[in-house]
Amino acid sequence: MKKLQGVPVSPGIVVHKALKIFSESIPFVDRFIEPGNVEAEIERYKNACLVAKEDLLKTKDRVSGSIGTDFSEIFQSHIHILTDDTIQADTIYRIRKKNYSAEYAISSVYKKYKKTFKKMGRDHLLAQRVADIDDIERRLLKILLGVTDDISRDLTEDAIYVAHELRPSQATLLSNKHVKGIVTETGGVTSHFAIMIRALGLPGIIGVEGITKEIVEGQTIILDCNTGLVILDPDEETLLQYEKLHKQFQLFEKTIISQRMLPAETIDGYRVTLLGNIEFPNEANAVLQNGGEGVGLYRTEFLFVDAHQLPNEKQHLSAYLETLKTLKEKPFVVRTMDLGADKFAEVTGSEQERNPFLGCRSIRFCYENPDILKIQLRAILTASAKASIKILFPMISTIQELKWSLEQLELVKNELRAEGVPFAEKIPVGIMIEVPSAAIISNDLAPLVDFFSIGTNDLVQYTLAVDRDNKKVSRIYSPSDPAVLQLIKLTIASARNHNIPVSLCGEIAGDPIFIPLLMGLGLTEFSMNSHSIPFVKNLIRSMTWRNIEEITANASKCHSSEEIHAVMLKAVKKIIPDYFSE
Amino acid sequence: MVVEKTFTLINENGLHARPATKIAELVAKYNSKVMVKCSGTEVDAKRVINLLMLGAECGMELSFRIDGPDADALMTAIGNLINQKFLE
Repeated sequence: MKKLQGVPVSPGIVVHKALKIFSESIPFVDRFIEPGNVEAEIERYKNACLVAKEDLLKTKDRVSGSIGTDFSEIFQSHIHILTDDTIQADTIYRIRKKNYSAEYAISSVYKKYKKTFKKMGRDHLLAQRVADIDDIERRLLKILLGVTDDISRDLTEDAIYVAHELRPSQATLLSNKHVKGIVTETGGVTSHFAIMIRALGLPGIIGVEGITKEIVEGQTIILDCNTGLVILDPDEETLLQYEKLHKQFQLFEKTIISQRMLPAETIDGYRVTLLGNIEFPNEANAVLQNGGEGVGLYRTEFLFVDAHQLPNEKQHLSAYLETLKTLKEKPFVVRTMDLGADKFAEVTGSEQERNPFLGCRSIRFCYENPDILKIQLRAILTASAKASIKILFPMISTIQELKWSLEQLELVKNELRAEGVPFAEKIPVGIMIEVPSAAIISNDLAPLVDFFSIGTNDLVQYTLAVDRDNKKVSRIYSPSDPAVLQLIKLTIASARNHNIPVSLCGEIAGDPIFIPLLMGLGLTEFSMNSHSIPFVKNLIRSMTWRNIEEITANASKCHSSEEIHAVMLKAVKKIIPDYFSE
Repeated sequence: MVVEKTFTLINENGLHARPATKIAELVAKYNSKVMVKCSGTEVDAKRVINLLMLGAECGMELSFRIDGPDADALMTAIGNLINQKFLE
């Protein structure tokens, strides 16, 4: 038995035999032809182009029928490149004047373009362009060499398919009924392929380093796509456990999905609000589809992904407006930029920090570069004229920091007023409580803001002074630690004191184990990943206020994170047994 | 008639294969010649591969120069396409 970790792209659990998909490079020799055969070789090339075009048209139709026109459009792009006049002329020139074989001519021409793309740069978008060119080249070479590796034709057995990487041309494979799951060695969560896997709801894990080397053809493998875990050659016990889990999970999923639009209230009518965390505007729809009541945390960092160029106001605005279009008047909280200076070394010329987590990040980085924050605030305010939207400042650790942030907001409001740009004068402003100092002085911060949002991920890290990615100390990282819970309690008490709402948006908001205790401590609003919403809702709808009181009372007698976790786990297992693996 | 105009790319993934194809196919429907410039490189907008070679990413500017009888209408159509994020 061996375990490998990857990145899950869509939820689910599958147990199946593994089969490898071969997509290694196509072997051919850089061959020269006899000058007398030039015209015949050119014919060979032209003919291959025709066949490839036919193939592409057919694939396009098939994919548009089975996956959707969004994805089939990529094949239209391939047809354009394949039939590009200059590329064809260049290829024919190489056959005629240099006596290259058709294969050699094709690969030398495409190589030229790939080289240019690679020179341009760095990011995944360019890698995607190279992958497109590669795909067209392979298609032509396969035709010329008579190699058939149309993988979907070979998939005749139900299996989990394992590949080094998958290309757009292999998309049809996804709609093959024998494909029960997909694992790949490479690939980003935003690649064409990952998006297709997700669109189809096929269980898939990508970025599993070493999988193609480790896997033995025909071996049983388990994909736990809820966590990204791949288990090769599981032992009897693990196998049984997962097979059972798979069946239970399917059933359970069906039930909870069917109930996802019902209100989030306990059996005895105690109601809470469940919201979604998003990173991209188009995810707002998934939140609503999963039964969320709005967006409790929009992480705007993706707007800053390009480290070479900061986003302008228009880009910010279009992202917010797009989200608002989906949400209409439902809650929408935008958190201002929450990145570290290291990300922007190139633009701002900041120096490398010895201790980035305690350094110039988030609101502190904005303090050094106020224009970055102001541009974002201008866009949020402008969007606020259209529908309700709230501002959330991250990583506030002192009252001066909060006052400074509010001043920036006032400055921007004045600017807009002077320009006659409309905005919501009373736009609600909140802060993340994620630094222990903020929780400790929350009673002084509360009168200055309209709401609190507790960010447990950072709160745990800073309270316990532990880096959870450092394996030697990560055991200390625990959201159920009494010190963390004390700070949460303190924050809730301050919010109540000043009559402002408080929500929680860390990972534990999406973990059913934590929900009863958090409700018992007084929280009524949770924001989580959209796929967690149906599960959390199911738990809430399965318990009574009595359950919550009991768990809270028992936890308050404990003195360690382990004890508290055990109390919560035991109680929640009783309430929703199907959620758990045993 | 020659029309010139500059647009900023606002779709998240920039001018990758699908948007480039949409521009090239739009241009092919009109009777004008279209050149497009991005960070110093100018290419014929009728060819997808050329558009890809611009390496245009989100936030970058594309300057179009259209020469022909239907230049105005084509410029408007191109602007709509870009500003609607290529309807992706």
